[in-house]
Amino acid sequence: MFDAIITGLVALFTPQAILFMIIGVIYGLIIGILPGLGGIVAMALLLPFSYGFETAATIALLLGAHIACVWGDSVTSILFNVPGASKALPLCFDGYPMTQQGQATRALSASATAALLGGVFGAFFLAFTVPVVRPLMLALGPSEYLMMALWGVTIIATFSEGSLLKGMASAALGVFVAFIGMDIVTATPRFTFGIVFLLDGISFPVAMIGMFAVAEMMKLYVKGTSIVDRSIIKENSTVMEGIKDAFRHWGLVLRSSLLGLWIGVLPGVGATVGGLSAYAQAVQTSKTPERFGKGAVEGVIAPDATMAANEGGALLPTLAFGIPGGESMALLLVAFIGLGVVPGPEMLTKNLSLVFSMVWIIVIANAMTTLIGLCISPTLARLPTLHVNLMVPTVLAVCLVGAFATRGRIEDVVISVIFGVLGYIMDKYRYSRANFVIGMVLATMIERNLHISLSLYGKSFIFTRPVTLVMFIFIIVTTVWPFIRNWRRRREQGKA
Amino acid sequence: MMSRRTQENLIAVVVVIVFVSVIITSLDFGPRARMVPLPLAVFGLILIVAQIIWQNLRSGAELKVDILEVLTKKTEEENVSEMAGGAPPGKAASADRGPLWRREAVAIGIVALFLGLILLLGPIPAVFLFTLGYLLFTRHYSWFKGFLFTVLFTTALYLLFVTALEIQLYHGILEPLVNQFR
Repeated sequence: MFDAIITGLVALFTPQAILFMIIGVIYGLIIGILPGLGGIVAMALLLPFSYGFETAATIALLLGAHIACVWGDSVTSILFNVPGASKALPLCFDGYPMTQQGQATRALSASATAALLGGVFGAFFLAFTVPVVRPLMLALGPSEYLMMALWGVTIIATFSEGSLLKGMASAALGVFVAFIGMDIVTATPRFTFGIVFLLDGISFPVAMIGMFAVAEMMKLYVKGTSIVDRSIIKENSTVMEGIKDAFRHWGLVLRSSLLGLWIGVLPGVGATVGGLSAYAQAVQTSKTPERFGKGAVEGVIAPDATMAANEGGALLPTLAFGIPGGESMALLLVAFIGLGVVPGPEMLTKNLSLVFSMVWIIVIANAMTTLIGLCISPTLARLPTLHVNLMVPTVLAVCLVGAFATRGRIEDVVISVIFGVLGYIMDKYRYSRANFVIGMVLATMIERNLHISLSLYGKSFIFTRPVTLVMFIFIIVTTVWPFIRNWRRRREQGKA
Repeated sequence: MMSRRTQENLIAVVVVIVFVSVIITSLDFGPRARMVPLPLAVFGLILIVAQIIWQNLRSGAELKVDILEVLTKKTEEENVSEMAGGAPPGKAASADRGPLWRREAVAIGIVALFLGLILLLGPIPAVFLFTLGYLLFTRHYSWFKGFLFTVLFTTALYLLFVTALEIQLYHGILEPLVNQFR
């Protein structure tokens, strides 16, 4: 095994591999920052260039781009309240308030450092737990996946932009939007009203571009000033503060990384659930949960560490079983086949050095992304101070062209504008947009796994599957606990 | 001008209509296809009706605070403080730009105009016209600077999306008309 670790590292010290990794990381950062385009698009566009080069170099290009995209997605969430991808949504909750308070540099550097720590942790954990995780993975079925998705939903109860009743209603509305299109279980067209375009459903990135980016630009126009007015709020944070924050909350980073790794290992769950769950556990385990949603740095650290660790976890089922952990991993699988690498149990015996090359790529790409991120954070932090008259046309243009680029369909631009107006109204009347997107993202996963669980295990599957039951009890406890804690705190304050 | 309570009620009624429509539409689906949407719509309807009752039983200053918030004591203070204003942050800075409803109407109009341009001309020409028009209209830059900025920005977008990302562009409803002059 030690030989494989060294051979895996040495394979990356060729000029081609180093150059490809640098190109991949820079390219990934740019794509990640563009709204609507994420790791999947980045890898899909690189696929044609993945043949005819060294295997390690090609994988460095693809994985490097994918990993850099994770932090790129976080940047727009923190600076503009515009998630670069659905998984970066939790970064908006506290990252954007930090920007508004003149703490953008700190938020960006904390995010980059947490991503590095999470990524490195995920990579090493991947390397040393391959033999252990396999039986664990096989022990979980659709009912446990359902519980994972429900755990993601519990964030609605622990965090809401405004009214909780409205927040829950927003989540329900988001679920219905996700149900627009062909039902994946029964092939019934639902809520399409005879419109052919709607049969494919509403694209998440498009809805998010509208809900956040377009709505934010409308808000900015109405407000008439830039996101951060430097004449009122000075940038009062440094890169070092962010780095220190990430190390100071090492326990949170560790918990979030473990969570991300675990969620990554489960095929089809995805980083979105990971990010939301990480945020939920950060709120639930904090001694001061009332700070969340108002610019708590822990709200930035937890999702970023989870998302970065998720990449290492997602590689495991892809390599060990040939089952992609997500869409990006499916593309990586296509590249493997093109390179003549056959994923499966043999990867962990005959191609172990290649597996360790990937582990090293994750570590090095994360380190490069963080280094670049820390260097450009002070410059990026100045973007929200751009004058409103420059910000509105340029961001609107990038977002609407981005909405079109998502699927190459003009109808998506119309949808993003409709969601923009809807997002503005929801924000004004405090119907949580975040909850709407959470409902939208998790709806399909919940419905699909509910149907499969009912078919496989019967109506009382929660009680007949021990792991499901334990997870169900865990969800109830972690959801109810903040309410009880607040109630006790109020009672104590009343007594005092 | 409508009061905040009337506005809140109007929005809540629209949400009620959405939930009722979902319930009615779901009844046409098979039992498996409606297994999740139907109960969820009923649950959503109950929530929003509770919200309507609650917001009409409380004083105007506490309008945004609901039953669950009272239970959790979550965001009451900030809600009440923001409710007193009823307008988004930055109100003072934008007070000289006309009433809120007018600025909101203009904001929607700007987005709708941009969408219209994209539908008519396709994304890249629309970006050029919209950005140039916006900069000239707001007088942020001089005529020449605005034009230069727009050309650079549109070129950057073109290079990024069309050249680098190889996105096949939509050419707009007016394309057949343009073709006639080619």
